[in-house]
Amino acid sequence: MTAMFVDDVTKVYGEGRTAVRALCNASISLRDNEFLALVGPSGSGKTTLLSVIGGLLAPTSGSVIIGDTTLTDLSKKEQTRFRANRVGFVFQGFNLVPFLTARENMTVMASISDNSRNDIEERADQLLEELGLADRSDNLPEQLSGGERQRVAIGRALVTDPDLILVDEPTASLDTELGTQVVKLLASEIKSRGKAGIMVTHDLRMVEFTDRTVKILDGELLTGSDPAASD
Amino acid sequence: MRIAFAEMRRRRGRWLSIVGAVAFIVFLVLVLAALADGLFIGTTGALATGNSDALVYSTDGRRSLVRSELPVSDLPEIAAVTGVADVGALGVLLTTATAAAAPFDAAVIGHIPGRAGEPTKLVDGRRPEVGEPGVVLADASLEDEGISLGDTLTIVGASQSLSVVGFVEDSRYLLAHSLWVPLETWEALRIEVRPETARLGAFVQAFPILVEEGADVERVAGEIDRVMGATETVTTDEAALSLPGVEQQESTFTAIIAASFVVVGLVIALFFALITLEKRGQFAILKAIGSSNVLLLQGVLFQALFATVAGYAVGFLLARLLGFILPSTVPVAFLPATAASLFLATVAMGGVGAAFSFRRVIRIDPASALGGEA
Amino acid sequence: MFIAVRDLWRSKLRFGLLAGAVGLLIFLLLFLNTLSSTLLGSFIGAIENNSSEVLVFEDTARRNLQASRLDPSVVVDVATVPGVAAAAPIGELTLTVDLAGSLTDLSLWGVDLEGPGRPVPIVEGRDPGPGEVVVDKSSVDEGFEIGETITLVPSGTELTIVGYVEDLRYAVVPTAYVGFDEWVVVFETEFPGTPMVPLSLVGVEPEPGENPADLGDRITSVVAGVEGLDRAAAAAAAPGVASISQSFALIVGITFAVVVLVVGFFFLILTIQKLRSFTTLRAIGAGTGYLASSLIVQIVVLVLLGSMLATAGLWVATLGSSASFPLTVDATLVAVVTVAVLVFSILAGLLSIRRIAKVEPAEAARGIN
Repeated sequence: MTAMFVDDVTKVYGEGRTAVRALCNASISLRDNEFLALVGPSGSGKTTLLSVIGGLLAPTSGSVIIGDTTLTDLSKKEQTRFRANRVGFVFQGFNLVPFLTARENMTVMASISDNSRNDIEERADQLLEELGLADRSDNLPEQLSGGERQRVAIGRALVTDPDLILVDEPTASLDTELGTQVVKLLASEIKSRGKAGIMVTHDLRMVEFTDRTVKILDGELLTGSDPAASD
Repeated sequence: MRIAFAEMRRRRGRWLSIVGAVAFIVFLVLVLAALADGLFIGTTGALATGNSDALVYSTDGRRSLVRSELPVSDLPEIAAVTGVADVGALGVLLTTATAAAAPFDAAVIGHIPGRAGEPTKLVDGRRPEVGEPGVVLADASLEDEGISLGDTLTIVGASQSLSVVGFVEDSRYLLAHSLWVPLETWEALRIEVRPETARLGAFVQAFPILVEEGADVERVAGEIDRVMGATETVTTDEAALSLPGVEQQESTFTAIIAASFVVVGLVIALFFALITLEKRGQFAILKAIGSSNVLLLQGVLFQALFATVAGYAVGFLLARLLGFILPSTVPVAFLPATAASLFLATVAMGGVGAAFSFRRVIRIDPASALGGEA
Repeated sequence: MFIAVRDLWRSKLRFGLLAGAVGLLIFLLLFLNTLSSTLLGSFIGAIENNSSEVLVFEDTARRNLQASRLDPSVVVDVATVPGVAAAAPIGELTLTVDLAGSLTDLSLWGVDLEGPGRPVPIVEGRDPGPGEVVVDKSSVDEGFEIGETITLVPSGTELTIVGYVEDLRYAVVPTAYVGFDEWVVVFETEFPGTPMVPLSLVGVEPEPGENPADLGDRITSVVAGVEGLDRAAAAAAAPGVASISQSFALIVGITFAVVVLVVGFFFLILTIQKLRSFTTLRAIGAGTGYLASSLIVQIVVLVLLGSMLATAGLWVATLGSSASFPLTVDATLVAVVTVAVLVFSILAGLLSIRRIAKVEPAEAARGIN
């Protein structure tokens, strides 16, 4: 089963001579319970691709299908709702809400998604345990270390029990040991819960935790975009 | 709502500042209004809080108590007009009076105790009897000057002294302290203090009237003028406005208060528009994790309403506090109607201000929450 | 400076809104000031701007013009007091007059047309002769124009308006000035059989170099039954004026305090917003002094901009003024208010600067969220 399918997506910024092609006819598919690494240097378009997949950015052409829903056909409002319920996004800058505690940063999804508050709170507490944040749950982001914030961001992405997890450069601001820990954690959470995930990274050492690697350069996807071909 | 509340709780300093700013603005307008209302009551209280629906003046008096003259003998004729339930009498003498110590500006008001036009708010002591000599009902503002029941007052230029038998509230005339005496006492005093008026005989300056239950005041007024011929009868409200300087005072203050309401309203609106504008980054994050526009807008509105209500409460308390510590020479009156309308205006403008920024909030692109490189 | 200006320019909307709010508050302050001085002027202009620098009341009248009645012989007594260059009688009478068919109130002042108390300066027309008066210009709105005839009621005496004076209104009613002897005749006609025509005041012109207030005190102590005051004191003591001017002083004072506090709050709130950029700046070596002066520059620009908006607003308001309620843009007032708001706003802004000083440059490197 295909968890996600990106079909011939192009993203162009600007017009005419100043046009910038961030993505160029990119196609990629993801199987159920597959953890994919999207690797490329800065400026290659990997965050753009991730944003298009998550519905944060509308492609200039092409479509994105997640599960049984064609994301690009939905209205903006529906896309937002979809993102709240079915996609978990771990941002590069963590993007935690600065005035909410670690726990609240997770339980805020109860106000945002359609999940019941009880379910969210239960899952949040469970995730706090699993992520080793139980005793930091009442701390504000400014009181947490980089690694702890990263883990809160991961928890938030998982608390709504989404089908697809998107992770943008999880090791960017962490040291090697911590970074490795985090990626291992991500992999185990994704695999053990039967979810599908994409991790954008420029750190090749991290790909050992993933099922498959796809390279991207200057907006174009290279080897490995087709699961069958790279197995 | 939770998110909005959490933000206020965690960013206490900033929200306290916001509430503080709103409080001060509200305080300003409440005090302005209280001063305006205070001056109005201090100027017109004698008429406004008198027990009357209308006042009968002489036509050539042109609604001026000082210039109007009507013979006392007209009273029964007016009482006989259809629709008139009661007629009293009013005469005003502006002069100086003294108690034991310092002299003060006084308005000696002659009236008929128990009839239309008498001051309604008795707060201490008793009223004079009809025709009772040597007594006076004083305005309560004199208590602040150290005068109490039983004290003796003298009118400058007159031989008679008066004993204070009671106090009434909000009955001042042109900011002078009013001294209510029976009509006969007033006549005697007037002749002594203003000898040039002696030739006019027994007169009053106006006849306050009360109309019968259900009667139309304007119609009865017209009827009185028709019957009497040389009179002009106006409602008590109009009479109050016709007192010298009152209209100018009122229009000045109305202009001031209107300007304040508008300015305050706009400032509050601008304020909340500004605050919402500042939160772009925060909104982008929330949108990125899937928050709908509706949720964000609800939060913005909730915060605006909460802050304006809280700010109003604080401003209100501060204004009342100021009212307590002001010296008695500065007249203040906190009227509930004013307070209520300001409350509605404040909260409404807070909402409007928040709403200004709605469009911008909706336009915030969740993709802007993405940091780092493309 | 550079950062301050760039910051301002980039967030035009935010600063525009803020300048608008500050402008509105300053406008309120200016408007209040203007209105209150106009209102007070209409009450006591005749006293405050009287050509006599010292006015003598009957002492028992307690500085109340309406209650002050002096015997004409007092003028001579006052004239002999050392320091008095000239003394003249002043009488005030408020009565009903007929102007072009309609009845209206008039405050008629009888003065020595050549002595203290004379209506000066005549801004239009000429000095009144027998049977003539000059009126305060604000009365034009009520129909009192040069060439019109005023008929006193009920005596029927006629007076012709031949000139205007300015800022000499009394008790909010139209005010006219006539020669004292004529005034006496008017009084006797209005109150036939009156035993004596009392003066309201004695107007005094001090010798050069005499302090009016001191001269007033001297007159009080030398002449029996009188109280001498300089014009300003007399105006302030007019009945009811004390309450009104105190109320207004309070209003203006409070508005001022609120304007300053609110501007201060605005800046406090905004500085907290900008903590991240300030941190970055600190990290690249900007000193607290630099940041503080940037903030002050912004405050200055903001208050000046607000002040300009407020003045423009006030000018618009003056378009709605009339002869009876003249509103003018007083440049001195604008300047004083602007400077005062500026000074106090900067002081309030210093509070924000304390916040900036507490920022740790090292935090920039950590990249706080």
